[in-house]
Amino acid sequence: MQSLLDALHSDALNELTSIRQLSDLDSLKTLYLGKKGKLTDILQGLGKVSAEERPRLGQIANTIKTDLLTRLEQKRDELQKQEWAVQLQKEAIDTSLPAHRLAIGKHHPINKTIDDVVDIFTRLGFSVETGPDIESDYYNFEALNIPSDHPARDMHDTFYLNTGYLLRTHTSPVQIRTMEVQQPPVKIIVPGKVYRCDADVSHSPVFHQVEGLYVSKNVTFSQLKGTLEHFLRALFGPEKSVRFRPSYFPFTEPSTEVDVACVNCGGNGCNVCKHTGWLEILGAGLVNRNVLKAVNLDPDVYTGFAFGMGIERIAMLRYGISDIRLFYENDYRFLKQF
Amino acid sequence: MKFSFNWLKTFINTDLSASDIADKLSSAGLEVEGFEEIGKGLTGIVTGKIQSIAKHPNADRLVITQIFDGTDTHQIVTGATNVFEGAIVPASLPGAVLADGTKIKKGVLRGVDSYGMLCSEKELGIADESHGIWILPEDTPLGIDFVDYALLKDVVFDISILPNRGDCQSIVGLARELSVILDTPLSLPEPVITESGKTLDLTVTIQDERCPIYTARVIRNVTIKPSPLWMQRRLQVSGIRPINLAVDITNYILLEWGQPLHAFDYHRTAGAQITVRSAHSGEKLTALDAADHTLEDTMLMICDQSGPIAIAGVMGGERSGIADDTQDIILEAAYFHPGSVRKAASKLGLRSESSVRFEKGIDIDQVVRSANRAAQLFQELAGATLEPIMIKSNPSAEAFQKRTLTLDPAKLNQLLGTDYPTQDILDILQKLGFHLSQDQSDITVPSWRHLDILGTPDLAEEVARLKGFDTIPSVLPTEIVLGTPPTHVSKQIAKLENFLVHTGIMQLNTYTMIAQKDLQGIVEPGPDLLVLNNPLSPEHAVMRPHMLPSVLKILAYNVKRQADRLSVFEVGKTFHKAQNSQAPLESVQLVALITGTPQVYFQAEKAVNTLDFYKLKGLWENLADLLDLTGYTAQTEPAPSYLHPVRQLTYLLDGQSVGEVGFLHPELLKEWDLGTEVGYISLNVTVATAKQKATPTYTHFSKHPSTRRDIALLAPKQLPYGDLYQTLQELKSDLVQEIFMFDYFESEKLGPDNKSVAVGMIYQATDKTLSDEEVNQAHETLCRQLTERLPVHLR
Repeated sequence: MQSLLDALHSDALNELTSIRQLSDLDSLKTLYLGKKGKLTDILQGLGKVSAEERPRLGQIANTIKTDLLTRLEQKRDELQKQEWAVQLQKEAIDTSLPAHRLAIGKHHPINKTIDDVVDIFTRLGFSVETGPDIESDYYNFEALNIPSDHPARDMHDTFYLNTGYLLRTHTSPVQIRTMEVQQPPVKIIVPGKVYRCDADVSHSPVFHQVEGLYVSKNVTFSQLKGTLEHFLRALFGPEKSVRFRPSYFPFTEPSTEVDVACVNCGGNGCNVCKHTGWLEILGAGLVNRNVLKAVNLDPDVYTGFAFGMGIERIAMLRYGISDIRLFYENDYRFLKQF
Repeated sequence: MKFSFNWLKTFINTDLSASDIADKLSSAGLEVEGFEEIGKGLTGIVTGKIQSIAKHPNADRLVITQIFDGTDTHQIVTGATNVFEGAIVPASLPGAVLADGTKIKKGVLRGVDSYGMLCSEKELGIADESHGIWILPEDTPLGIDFVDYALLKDVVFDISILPNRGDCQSIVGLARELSVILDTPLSLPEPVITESGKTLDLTVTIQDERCPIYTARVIRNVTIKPSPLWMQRRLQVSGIRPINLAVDITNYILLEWGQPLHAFDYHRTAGAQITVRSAHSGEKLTALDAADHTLEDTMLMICDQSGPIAIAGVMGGERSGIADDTQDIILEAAYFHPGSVRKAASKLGLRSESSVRFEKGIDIDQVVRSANRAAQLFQELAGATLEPIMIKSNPSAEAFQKRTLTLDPAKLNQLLGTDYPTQDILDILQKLGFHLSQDQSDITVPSWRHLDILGTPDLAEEVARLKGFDTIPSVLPTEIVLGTPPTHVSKQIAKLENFLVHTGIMQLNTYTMIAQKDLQGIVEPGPDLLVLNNPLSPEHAVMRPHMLPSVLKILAYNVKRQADRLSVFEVGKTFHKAQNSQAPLESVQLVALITGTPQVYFQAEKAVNTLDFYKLKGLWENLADLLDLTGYTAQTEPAPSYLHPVRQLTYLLDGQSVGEVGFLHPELLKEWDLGTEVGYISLNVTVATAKQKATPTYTHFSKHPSTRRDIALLAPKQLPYGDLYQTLQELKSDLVQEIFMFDYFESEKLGPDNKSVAVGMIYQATDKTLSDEEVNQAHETLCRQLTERLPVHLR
């Protein structure tokens, strides 16, 4: 009987090896291990063997059964995996086809630069203020110590409107508007569009300025220097050399122009810096006493500093742009680069 | 302003190089825009007289000249046609170097020896163009080093004079400034003149306080001839054309002392009576620019018996000007009020070397000295006779008053944040010409800084700029100033801009001025349009009343350059003239134009990936959500002129338009040469952000299960879904939490006048789980009422 069992075992294993499909696996299982299968057939003859032999043969039969079941399951896993693989292979796609991306949207480089500049100052406690583009002579000139017959008006080629109003030539009117309604300490940063009748590769009739003002008690020129040095190094890099030169603006006294080492040549001299090694970036100074008087602040009690910068110039230096008109052409091929 | 380094060196001694001088001036606040070294390599040029001119045997266009230099005679062949026997000319002999670096050698020209070259002004580096050889004045000495004699070597600085430094608009002023910067003495010789007795009548009357001093001197027997070469050269390098001796002397003094002068022909000055007065309105004057000027009563004039002869400080009149036959002149030196000169000059459009100096303020204490210096030159160079100077002045005028300021070194240091020793401060100010009181508490401003130095901050600037701004320490303010958060509007604008950029739409930044023609089909130009009085071009002549022209122009520009699937937007200001108040109205508007969706390539996706109205509408409502905008309604009429009349919506908030969505009108597209359809979204940011939304309060939501019931409807095609939705909202019971459309179609089977609409409804109670019966009852009621109210059928 043992030889019958051994033969069944080896037959079953042989057939198992040649099976290729899951459905054949089930028939094989039924054929050998089913209720009416070959193993049952053999075990029906168990009654004829001696009582001593019976347990041993029973155990052998059990071992064969367990072994076949395990191997059947192994085979099942194997076949199932093969079946998945065949199935999924049919779903293959060309992953190298181009991606479906959202369209490219970008912030305008001027708006982006304004944001970056303003961010540096808000971290220093400056609050953002804005004002109208269309201004009166009073806010744009008079209150800023530029009376109508003052030669400093030549520094501002002004657009006038049919209503007698004008397009602001700088963001400085917002200094006045803010101080009129807010008591010191006033610490503001003012971004906005400004206008001058002037157009060439480095001048646009419309451009952007960011203006800063800090008015309180005991504000000093050395604080102005510290603030602007911090700003310029935050914007252009911590190692940047910064230079302050005396200058003149009607609304500040003392006044200064601030240069940074040329971003192009690092200070050795090139076309960008007109071979001076320096680039003029900012105008600044201590708030003129007449400006404080215009907003009814006592200049013997309060002092302040103010500064202003052209955003186009900063953006041109940052991005290596040589023609200011590119900003306003808004060519898609230009805009998508930022 | 251009100035000659050689001329400057007649007043101060310095060995510094031009670039050192430029640096020193810049760091002291005088901006040097550049400098030019002229005649750099020039050498070996001598003067000689042409003794004879002979024909060249082998060339028609050449002549052989014999040049006598006072000792020797040199044979030089030239092709110039303006030479003549007896002319004195500059000659470069073998070994000489011309301005362009050419070295002169002995040569043979068509078989004739030539020992050098006769020179033109161009070859000597003083003109860009010249016609022929430079013919020198007859009294030019022979055989001299012409480079030195004619001041051919010089450095010309170009310096921009800021409005507060009128005192530096002269050689003397710059020399004075440099003498302080370089700490080197300044020598200003006092003019030496000999006055004759008075023979010619002259009266001067000042009738206007804007002229605190007027001086006039009669100078007799002036010969009108060319001025000497050195004077011509100094004028030339300073950018002024030499004219004749009399005019050149006045310009020379203007450049040297910063004092504008004017010379009148004595015999053409009616009655020899000079009156300084305001113009009578409507008076006319033909000025030296040969133009007729109509005068206004604010203008200060110099007049004779028959009327105006000069616009004070601006320009003289033609009638009384110096002519070739002039013999006797009246030389004016005066001080005119800066603002008055500026106003007259700008109103008449006449900016002159004179007016720019008066505008920034001249030194009132040097008026007479400058007049004397000019007189000295007339005497020396023109052999003229000087009559005594006539001076009319008003010593009580403000311009004459010395300004005395309190000197407080501690306050000065506090302002700068420095601790300069008091002695340093005093030293600097005294070097600058300030006069210190005995007890050192007061300081008097020098006359040449009268308009500029008004208080401690000005004194602080003087000290700081001479100490060097780099000596001021850098510190950050330590005071804590509480920042205010960004304003509601600017924060909302930032939100909108970020959202649109992240949605794939490109941000633009455009001019706020547009061409009036670009409004066509968009906004009818009305009386509230703001127009520029002085536009640079018609392209930017009006303030935009709407963002669409700006954004559309950029779209068209890019489409023309073959960009497709463009989506662009800008949040910008629009402008209108105000009705009641004076100040124009500015509001903020968002306009986005969309011409496509992202590129796809599968057929199935192409079918759904199209730009349709509902995507635009969705984008608009997304923007509204972003701003927490609620309670807006939509209307279809009236349609904005620039939108497709039946594919657009206007959104209203409290009866006010807050935005629009739709497709641009095909007619507008045609005008802008746009082939594809263009989606349009606008949001009136000013209206949308007018009300700041309160912080939301939490509302309890039901945790009981919900039940969905659908209605499939056959509805007339003409019935807008909006009406259906509105009716359902009105009829529904409180148990309905949500109503939404989930299917919509039209088909042949339904017929041309019908459509199928399927709407889902979510039933839910807050306090219990609803039973099927409760839901069915509510839903049946709703369906029944709906079919009673509207011409729809349940399918």
